Parts: sequence; C-alpha cells; structure tokens
Amino acid sequence: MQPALLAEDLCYSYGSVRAVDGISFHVDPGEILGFLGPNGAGKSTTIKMLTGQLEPDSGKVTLLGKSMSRDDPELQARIGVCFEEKNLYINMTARENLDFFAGLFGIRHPDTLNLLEKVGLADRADERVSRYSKGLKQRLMMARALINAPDILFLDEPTDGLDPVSSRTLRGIIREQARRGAAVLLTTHDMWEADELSDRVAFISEGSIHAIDTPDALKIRYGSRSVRIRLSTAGGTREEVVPLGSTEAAERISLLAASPDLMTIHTEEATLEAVFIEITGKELGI
Amino acid sequence: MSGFRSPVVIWLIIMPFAITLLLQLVFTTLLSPRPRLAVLDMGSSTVTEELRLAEELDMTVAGTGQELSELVEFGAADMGVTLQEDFDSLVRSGSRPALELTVRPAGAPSSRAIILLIIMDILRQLDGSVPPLEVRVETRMSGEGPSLRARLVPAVVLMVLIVAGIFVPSFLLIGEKEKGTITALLVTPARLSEVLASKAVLGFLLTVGLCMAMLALNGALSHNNGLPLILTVVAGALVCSCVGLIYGCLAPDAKTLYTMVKSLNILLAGPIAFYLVSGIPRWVAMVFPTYWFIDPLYRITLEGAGLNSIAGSLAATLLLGMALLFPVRLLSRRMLGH
Repeated sequence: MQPALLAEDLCYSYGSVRAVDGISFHVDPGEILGFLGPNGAGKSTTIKMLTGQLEPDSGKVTLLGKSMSRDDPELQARIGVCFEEKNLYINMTARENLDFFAGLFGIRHPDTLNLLEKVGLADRADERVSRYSKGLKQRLMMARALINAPDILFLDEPTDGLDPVSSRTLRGIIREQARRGAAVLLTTHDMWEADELSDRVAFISEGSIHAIDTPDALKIRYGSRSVRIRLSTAGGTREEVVPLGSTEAAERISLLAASPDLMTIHTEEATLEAVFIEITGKELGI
Repeated sequence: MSGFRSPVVIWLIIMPFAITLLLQLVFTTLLSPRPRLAVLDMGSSTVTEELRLAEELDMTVAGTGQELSELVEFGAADMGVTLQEDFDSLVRSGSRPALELTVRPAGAPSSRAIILLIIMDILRQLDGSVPPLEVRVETRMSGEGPSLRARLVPAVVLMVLIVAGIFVPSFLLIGEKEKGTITALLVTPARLSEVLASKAVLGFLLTVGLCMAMLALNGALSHNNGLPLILTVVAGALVCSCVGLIYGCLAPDAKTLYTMVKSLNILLAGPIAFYLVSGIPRWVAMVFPTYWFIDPLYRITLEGAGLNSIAGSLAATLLLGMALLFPVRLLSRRMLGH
C-alpha cells in the first residue's frame, strides 16, 4: 500500500538553530499517527513543511504519491489542516467562515450546516465567531479542516486546553475520519490522548524522531510491567510493587497472594509518558 | 477594518472628504471672487440670457419663488432677482416695472453691489440708452500662476493615492498575518500570489474610486482631461498598491506598519512640495519615485496637459510598478519563511 504521507530525511533551520534534523516517517491511509513531543521539539515546523508552508532545507515530502509543493492546488485541495492557533475570521459567522473556505477549495454547494452539526455548532451557525469560547472556536477549526473531506488530515494540538465534552467530540471526529480512510497526523503532547487515538506514535525531541511504533509495542519494549499488592498490617496498610519478568518475582507474588493480609492486587503497565521519558530523557511538560 | 474609528476609515474616507469640504468652504464660499446670482424668470426675458453670459458672476436659474428663496437663504446665491412676465416689453415701453431682489443679510455686500451694477448695465442696454459706465470686475489673487486651491486639489488626490493606495493592501495583509488567517489560506488551493493580489486589487480599486471622486467633487475632472487623469490615477494606484504590499510583507504587526506609513509616506509625498513651493529645482522632485505620477497629475490639472505630453511619465510609472513586483515576490517568500 502506498503511504498517504511520506517524509524523508526532513531538515529545517531557523537561522543557526536546527529545528528539524533528519525526520523520516510515513502515514498510511486510514491510520492515525500520533506525533508526540514537548513544545519546541520541532512538531509544528514539521507540519509546516508537510503542508507546504515551509520549504525544507533538505529532504522530501510526498503526499498521495506526489511531491509536495505549495504551488500545487490539486494537492492542497486534498489536505486539511487544523491549527493550534485559532486563526478564524472572527468577524464572520461560523457558516460564513466555512462557506468562504469552501469557495477556496472550489466547492460550489458546501454542506456547511451538516458539518457544523457534526461538531455541535449547528445552533450557533449564524453567530459571529468573536462571541465563541475557545472550545467552540476549536470545533469550528476542526469543521474547517474537514470542509474538503481531505485525504490527509493534519491536526496540531486539536484538543489542547479544551473542556472534556469538546475534547470527546473532537476525538470522535478524528476516529471517524480515519475510518473514512483519511490519513491523520495528530500532533499532541497529551500522552493519554495519543495512546487513546493513535495507531502508531512517533516520539520527537530536539528535532529528531527517537522512536516510532504502536503504543503497545513501545510500552512492551521500553516500559516495565509490575504488580502492585496491598496488604493490611497492625497499624494500617502497606503496598509492595513487584516488577514482572523474573522467577523471583513470580515466587514473591505467589507468596504475597497467599497471605491472609492480602487486600488488593493489580497489574500495572508502563504509561506512554514513562516510555517517552525513558527514550528521550525529557519530560513532556508544557 | 471594522468600525468608524478604524484608522483606515479615517485616513481613507473621512480625511479626503473633510479636506475637500474644507477647500470648498474656504475657496468657494468664503473667498470666492465671483458673486453668485439666482434668477427667477417669470417670462422669457433677454436679461436672463445676458446675465448668464456675464463673466463677472455665476448665475443659477430658479424654477419657483420658493427655490429662489432657498438658494439665497442657504447661501448658494448672494442675491436673488425676480423678473416678472413681459419684463423686457415693460422696460422698453418705459413702464418702470418692479425689479424684485431677494437678499440675505449675512451675504457679502461687495457681491450684492457688483450684481446690482451688472443688472443696471444690462437694463440700460435693454432700454436702448448708453450706459454711463462699463463694469469690469478684476479679481486680485496673491502670486502668479494657478490659485492655491487649484494647486491643493492634486495634493488631496495624491494624499488619497499615497495613503489609501499603500494603507489598504498593507493593512489587509497585516491583518491576515496578525490573526494567522494567512496560514489558513495558504493550506488551501489559494496561492500566495493570489492572496497578495486580492489585497492589492481591493486597495487599487478603492484608491482609484476615491481619487476620481475627489477630482470630481473638486471640479477638476472634465471631458478634456478625463482620460489622462484616469490613466495617471490608475498608474499611480498600481505603484502605491505594490508599495503597500511591500510594507505589508515587511511589517510584522499593525503598530510597525503605522510607524512605517507615517515615516516613509513623508518621503513618498515629497515631490508635492515642489508644486506647492516655488523655487525648488525639478531634479530634486525627480529623485522620488512618486514624482513620475505626481508630475502628470499636476500638469493635467493645472496646465491642461494632454495624453501625449504625459505619456513618458506614465510609461515610467508603469515600469516602476512592474519593477516593484520583484521585491514583492522576494519579500512575500521571506515573510512566509518566518
């Protein structure tokens, strides 16, 4: 299967600062790739190169089998971008925003109301965007990115700072787009969200990809599983965490499990965040 | 650009019209050397035609007594004259018909005196008698050559050309940059050149429209100079739109843009001083790029220059406009890189 998006050895520098340093990856149709990294890791610069906003210093971007070019309207017509920055026309209504962008894509009769319904904005379609909350603006941003039913969807921190309801709505839409066959590149620093949504994740730090695989594979490869056992004592309770993977561990767990003081016993998996720290040596904080 | 307090609205719409109004008030109403007369002719007197031909005054024909009163009352005429039916026959027969005059107390006495003298002169001719004197009105203006008003009208048009022509495209572009919407536009099939062109075209059309309105409102547009003026304004607006795009690409935000416009527009408008203040060598004005459309504008409006004599300047302006497209392209690419 030909990948929808193929990045090969991308490099970009802002002056003397190397922002992206030899990044390579691909995203298949219908796949969600989580692009994870802290702020300043090079995620946004990579997206800019992938969407034609920046020309790479070196390397190559291939979208849908064609070399990426800012001056290729046919290719641009097949991608959708949801920016982290809320760059909407705030003096227009939601409907006007979508109609305007539909016009840029050459869509004559856009079904804007249906799209607004999908993101939960149908009842506020004719309200000026300047009156929208951050969450509503983000929903409209997502609707705008979908106006052309894109084959490749670039999502830059789509749920950052949103309330749980808005986040859940947007996550549902992202899954739906992948089911439709769109390749989704999801940039986030929310590990839980990446774990929840992504088929594969790429860890990016200091302009390089340090690891790329399915979340489960990364957790198994780099994380350590353990069993947390809670026992009652004369003065209260005590907890013991036993790392799995050795004969001694199995014996210890058996021993504790047979104890009359046993209260609870849970298996624990490594989190994606712990794996990220393990691999990159960096925190994912803001 | 929303709101009447927007600097764009103030600079583009309000300022030129306010200056035009001021010019009209100062030079037409307050300092007008020609008295204005309103005539209500109840019959078909030859006096009306004679008054119309009189070079020393401006005449308006009123259709009704009410209209005549209003013309005088609201200051559009210094005096009103009503000529009754068969006025000429009555004069010739020596019946001494009444000459009804309508005056406004606040009107200029000198204008009323001139009008009365001219009327009496015409009546004597009608009567067949030899007038005892010949009325000559000579207007004394300061200096030589075109009046200050005539010299100021092109300056107002140039203000619109330079300020609006530059401000609109640059302000629109900066707005897109500040709101980040330019990024959203550029991930659609719309190309950067199309986005820039849309800003330039809007500024260009608005500027041309406003300039023509200014020329028409100030009475500087006639069928003789219409085409050369339109071509000059079009060429000037083209150059200014390109400069506007350069400003828009260079300035990161509106604050910087205002500073750039305020400081650099003084340089662009420099050649105007050459026409308002005599004694400055022409080569000084020619150093400024804007000279090449400012000069034809002045020559058309003040000297009645035709298309042939301004063709060279127009060609230079168009070449300048095309040459400016290169820095626009270069700077717009650089703008996206950051």
